Amino acid sequence: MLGKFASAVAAAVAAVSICAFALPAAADGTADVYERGIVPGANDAIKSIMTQQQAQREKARRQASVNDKTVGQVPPVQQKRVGPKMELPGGRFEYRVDISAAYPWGNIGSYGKGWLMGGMDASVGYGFNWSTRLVASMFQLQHWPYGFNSGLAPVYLAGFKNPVGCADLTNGNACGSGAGRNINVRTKDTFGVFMLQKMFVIKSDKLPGPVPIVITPTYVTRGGQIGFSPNNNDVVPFTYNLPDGPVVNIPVRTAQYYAVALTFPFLKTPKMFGTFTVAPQWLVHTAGANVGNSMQFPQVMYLEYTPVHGTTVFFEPQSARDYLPTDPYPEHLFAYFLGASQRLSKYAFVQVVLNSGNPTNRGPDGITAIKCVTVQQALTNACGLAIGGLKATQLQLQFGIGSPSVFPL
Amino acid sequence: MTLSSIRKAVALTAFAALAACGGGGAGSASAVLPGREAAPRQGAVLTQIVAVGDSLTAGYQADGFLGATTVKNPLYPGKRVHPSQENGWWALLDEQASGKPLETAIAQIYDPSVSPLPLIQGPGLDNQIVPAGPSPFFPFGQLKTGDACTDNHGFNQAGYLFRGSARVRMNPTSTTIRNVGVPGITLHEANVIHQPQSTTCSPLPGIPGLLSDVVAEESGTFWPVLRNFTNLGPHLTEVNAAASRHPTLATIWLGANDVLKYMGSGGRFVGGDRNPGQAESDVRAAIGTLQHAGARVVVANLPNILETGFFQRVTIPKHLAECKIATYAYCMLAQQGFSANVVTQLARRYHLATPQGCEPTSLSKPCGYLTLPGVVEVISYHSTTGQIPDLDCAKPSPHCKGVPGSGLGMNYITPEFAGKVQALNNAVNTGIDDAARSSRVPLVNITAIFDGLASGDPSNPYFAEAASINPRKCCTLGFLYGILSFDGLHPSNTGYALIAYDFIKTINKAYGAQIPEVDVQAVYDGTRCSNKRYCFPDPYAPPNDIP
Repeated sequence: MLGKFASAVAAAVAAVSICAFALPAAADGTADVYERGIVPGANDAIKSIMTQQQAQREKARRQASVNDKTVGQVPPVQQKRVGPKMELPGGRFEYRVDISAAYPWGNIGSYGKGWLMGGMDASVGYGFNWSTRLVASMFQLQHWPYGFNSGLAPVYLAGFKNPVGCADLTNGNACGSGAGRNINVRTKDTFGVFMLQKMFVIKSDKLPGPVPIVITPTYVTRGGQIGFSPNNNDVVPFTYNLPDGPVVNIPVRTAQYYAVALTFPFLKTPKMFGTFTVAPQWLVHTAGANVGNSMQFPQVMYLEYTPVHGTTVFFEPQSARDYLPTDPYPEHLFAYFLGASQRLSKYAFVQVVLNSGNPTNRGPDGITAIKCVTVQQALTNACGLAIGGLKATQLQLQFGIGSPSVFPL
Repeated sequence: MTLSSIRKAVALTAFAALAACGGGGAGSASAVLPGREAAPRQGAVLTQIVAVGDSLTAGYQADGFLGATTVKNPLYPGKRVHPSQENGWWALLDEQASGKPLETAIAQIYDPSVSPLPLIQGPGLDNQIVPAGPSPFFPFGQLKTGDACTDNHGFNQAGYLFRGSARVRMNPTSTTIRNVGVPGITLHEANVIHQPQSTTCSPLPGIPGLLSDVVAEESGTFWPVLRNFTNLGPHLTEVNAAASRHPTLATIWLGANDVLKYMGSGGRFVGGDRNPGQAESDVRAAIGTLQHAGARVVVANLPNILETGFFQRVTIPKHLAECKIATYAYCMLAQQGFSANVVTQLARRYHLATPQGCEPTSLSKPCGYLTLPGVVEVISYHSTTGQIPDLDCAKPSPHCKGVPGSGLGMNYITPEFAGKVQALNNAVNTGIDDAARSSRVPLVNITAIFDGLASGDPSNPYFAEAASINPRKCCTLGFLYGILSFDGLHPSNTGYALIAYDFIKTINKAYGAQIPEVDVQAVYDGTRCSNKRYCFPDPYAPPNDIP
């Protein structure tokens, strides 16, 4: 038994188990919920209201100016002042649909380089009254996270404290001949977001004018597909608490959250607009490696510039929280979205968004280790992946149609 | 019987099983007391003794794990294969501590209905090395002459699966098992694994087959030993199984496989405990679990495995009499007609020579070795081809050109690597000692026993006691000189008795027990009881070992 074994063990071992893994990936997730769901809706409402306010103030000013020029014989009449009319933008029904494709960037190895699988976004809203609207939306995000096809990962076998070998994630021979392998971790996350947008207007003599804020109680459910998953879903072998933690097959990209977002404006000029959103959020339930479920407090800033009508450039930095079944505790992500939108017609638009997220409290990114419970798992790709921080960068291209009022333009 | 088959057997032993041998006896020769009468009434600490360990605790010998007494030796018609489990040190301890007449206590150890041992059916697990009868060539061979995995209708394979393991046990539904030593298991595995890491002894395609080699031993013996503890569900581990017996006294002897798996892989397998901290952590975990269950605990450290007969020095002894004290490759090769020049050539070819001299357990002046399988390979290959084999070839043949270093661990041990093996051996022992000290549990110093036996110093009490068993014939540490069984790693009956002796001495001193000491001489002679199926002359000690 000592025999040939001796000649190749470590490398071989590692290689072997390599084949055993394949995992999900993710880098950003919750951040997109805000970027594509909660914040745009609130922003639209706030911007619409503030635009209405601005327009009405302008109208009132012009009216007053006309009145001043027609004095003369006419006795002064105390006209009723026109107050600002405030309501959520659009009609009673709103919709939006787009299709998207994405391209990954960053340290993902060569295997994942290429356009990712396509996605689709859809949103429909119903306005109950001037200040209340129910919105249901789904969107998909494609990415290929860092660290799953680059670098080396130690390989553990149940029963041993120390790694029994390593795996070359680049398909190279750094862990011995034949010990390398690529893993298809192309990921498409699908989010379902259900929001009740409620607008309030704060009036105070100390404020330059009425200030609209939007409170958005939200339920988010998410799932995903991972290229390596045998069933075209996000169920893949996963491990945690190494070296003795279990290897389990769980839906690693599936989670549900509650959140209550509060969005308020801090900038509004004819060409610029900015809001800030804070959103206490909780998991509906813990899963996988999750340990606790204390309140998380993501924060989102949104800045927009509209150089010409129909064209918008925006930047949205976030202090986001991601809490997936692979996380023992929430990932604190710095994420940003940098994008531009162009209206093509009354009902069509195109948008390009570069987004990236990087956990500030977890590391390293991607696969941190691989664990096999049995030797046979190495033959059946059933070894579990231990995952560190999830980071991804991708450029997403969207082509869509929808109610004009919901365009972020 | 062929030499290659012997080679396989011995090689298998190295990995899977534990090594280390047992060693020497008590503090002095006169301390070996007869223990054949009814023992005095024992204290409560002896009510329920359990054992946590590996093959050394399980009672493993000559690469075999056998409880049955009726297995016939196919290589030596008219002779039977001797069981190993009932001759292990723990069986001796339990018999001595039972408070029953030895005839009764020994009979109960052999009785599947009440035995505390997970008795293994014939022909036994793995592949026992057995005497082959008078032979002009080699005096022993393997019990299973074909593919050990599939021979006897897949007896070994049956041990890999829970359902199959019922077949390999004489007492498959026993509720009396108290010795849960799993051959091949490591320190950490004893605390954590709840299922075997492999489900087959058949070669696996590709690289995983190599990985499976590392864990083959414990995978094939896990269920045979622990099949009666599945009520523990996901909490089933060897340590938890022992704790579930509500022990009053527990013995822990682990760690040898952490060293052996590293050694056998030529240093490529580094998954086992590697430093004192890791070893201490695992030993303390085991101690804690057993103490929590109410047990007093005794811990044992490891011998220096490089002192065992498995490792054959390439230096040439000045006198052949030195072959009794320590194991030299030349000793075996000379018996087969090889000259000292062959050993010198091998030492030069594989960088084993130490012109400045060496000390076997030294980190600064380590020795170079051929392993027992390596020596057997040389003899076997030369007998058929007249040539010296390439020990870097997995299967030496005239056209094989091995990758230099490939045979490290399997066939030879360079001085540099021997230093690393010894360093790991020291690290594990330091961890065990630290755990015993910090947990305030008594330590059975097996290291000292072995060092004493290896010293060859007549003034050393361990050496003196062993050498006095049958002066000028038995027993010393050299390969085939009575302390070790045919695999060069596991003790003979006499070797196990010496170990039992020290366990008993330590338990008596630490816990005020009055366990009668085991009669080592009677173990050697086979006179502890009147039933000749149970008590027989040590089959691994001269002059009874080989025809």
